[in-house]
Amino acid sequence: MIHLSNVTKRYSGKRDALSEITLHIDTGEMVFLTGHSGAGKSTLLKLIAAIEKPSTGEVIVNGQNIHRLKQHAVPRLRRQIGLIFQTPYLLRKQTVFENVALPLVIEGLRHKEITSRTHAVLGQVGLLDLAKAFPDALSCGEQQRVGIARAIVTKPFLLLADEPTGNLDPGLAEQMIRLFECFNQMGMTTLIASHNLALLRQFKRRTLTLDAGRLCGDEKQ
Amino acid sequence: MRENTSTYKKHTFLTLFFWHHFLAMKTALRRLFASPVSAIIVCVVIGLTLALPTGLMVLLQNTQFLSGGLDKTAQVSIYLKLGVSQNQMNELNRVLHQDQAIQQVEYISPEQGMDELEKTMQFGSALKELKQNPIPAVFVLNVAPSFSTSEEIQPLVSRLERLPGVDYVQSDIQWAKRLKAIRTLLHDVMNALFLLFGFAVLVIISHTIHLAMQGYRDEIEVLKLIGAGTRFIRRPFLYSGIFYGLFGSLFAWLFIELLVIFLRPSVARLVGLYHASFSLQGVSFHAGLSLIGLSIGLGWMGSWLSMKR
Ligand SMILES: Nc1ncnc2c1ncn2[C@@H]1O[C@H](COP(=O)(O)OP(=O)(O)O)[C@@H](O)[C@H]1O
Ligand SMILES: [Mg+2]
Repeated sequence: MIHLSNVTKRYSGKRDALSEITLHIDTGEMVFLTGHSGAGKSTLLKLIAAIEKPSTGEVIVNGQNIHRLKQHAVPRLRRQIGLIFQTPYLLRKQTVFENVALPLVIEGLRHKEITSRTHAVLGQVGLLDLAKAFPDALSCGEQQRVGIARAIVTKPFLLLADEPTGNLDPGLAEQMIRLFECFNQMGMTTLIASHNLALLRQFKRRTLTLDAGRLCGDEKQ
Repeated sequence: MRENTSTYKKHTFLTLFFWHHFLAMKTALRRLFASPVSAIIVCVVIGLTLALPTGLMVLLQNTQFLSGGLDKTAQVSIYLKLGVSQNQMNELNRVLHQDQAIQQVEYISPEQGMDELEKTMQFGSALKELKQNPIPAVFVLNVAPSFSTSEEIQPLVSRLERLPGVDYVQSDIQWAKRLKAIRTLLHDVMNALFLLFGFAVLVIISHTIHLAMQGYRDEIEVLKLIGAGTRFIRRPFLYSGIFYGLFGSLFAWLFIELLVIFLRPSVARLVGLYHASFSLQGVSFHAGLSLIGLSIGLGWMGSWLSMKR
């Protein structure tokens, strides 16, 4: 599913954000990615989502080499990946329903299909009542769940979450990870980046540890 | 194994095309109405910009009847020398009637000329005080249509000038020529203005869209992250440009109509002084559609340019 070999990423600075990373994630796996702030977690996710390109090495996602991906092929790949961020980046002028339905609109589904699919996903994250609300009227946790609903509405093969629990209190954070476990059981390969090691320890999953751009741990629990 | 989006009911290529364009249109309108005041200001500015060349176009259309009337039946007036004898007069009359280029001959005697002058000028009896009638005898000729072009009429005029007893010959083809030249000039000016002000509209729209895109930068980033293609992201902005063009040209049309309604009474009064009746016409339907088409084209091009920046 995801294969990185000897990947190095250097932005403009002197230090590599990632150096010589080699790793493999199988289809259907649920993997945690941890490390201090600035260790390179976000960068790794960005490489996989083709937001950034590796300086050297190869990133292969679902059989596609990110480095050789043509510009016009990027949106297609993105639609097959569910991206979740610490702040959910919702469109403030559109309702919860419209936000969640957007990827399906882009994908070109029929109106009826979009409505039923969006309602189903909003049900899954427990936001059906708020479908007509605007994001600004929602709490942090609710906004985050809208972001998650939008990420999974297309049933992507891969779910990438960057600090999805960053703005949530511990109880909600745990619930959130359980939600990801559900999605993983539905068949989505899941990669969650978080610096909150204590939280991740509660779930016995494979955990990758980054330190200053180097992969220093890959524990299967 | 999980199902994929590909198993969902999807639009066909064609219905998706229309569906996405419809959505883009909706988004564009929603964005315009999100800041109605600035949208109206931009449209009014575009309207004012387009109103100038459009106004000139309307002026040209209104003068068309002038040259049109003159082109068809050319009139030539022959002014005779004072004191031409009756014999010479009869001879002239005979020659004129025989000329193939001349359709109709009307003789205006000095007395008739004086009467008419008195009627129009209202000098009253002042003219009667004159010892001698200063008005020459005149032959007014209607030239046959086949001889009415400016090239054909020139030989006729020189032929008439050489006849005995003729003082000078005036053909209104001269006026037609001058008028035509003036209209050609105005036409060129109009085209130049359309070019110039069309460019201005292009700049206005392109700049407006550019600013709008800055304002929606965050939204664009989000759309990219969830897999929207370039076209999907750009389409609403293209429609914004198109709507600016559309509404701008409607404003231009409105401004010119208002101007025409405002000017109509005074033009009618002026024309009335020349014993003619004429009502100032506004933008013709055909011209209006062309204006809208042009403006929409400019809007589309403007937003397209803003994306290439
Ligand atoms: N867009 C960027 N431009 C320059 N440097 C960056 C950029 N993004 C991240 N970095 C640098 O790369 C390193 C890793 O950052 P990041 O991947 O965000 O770490 P993490 O998500 O683990 O906190 C940091 O030193 C950061 O300063
Ligand atoms: Mg980070």
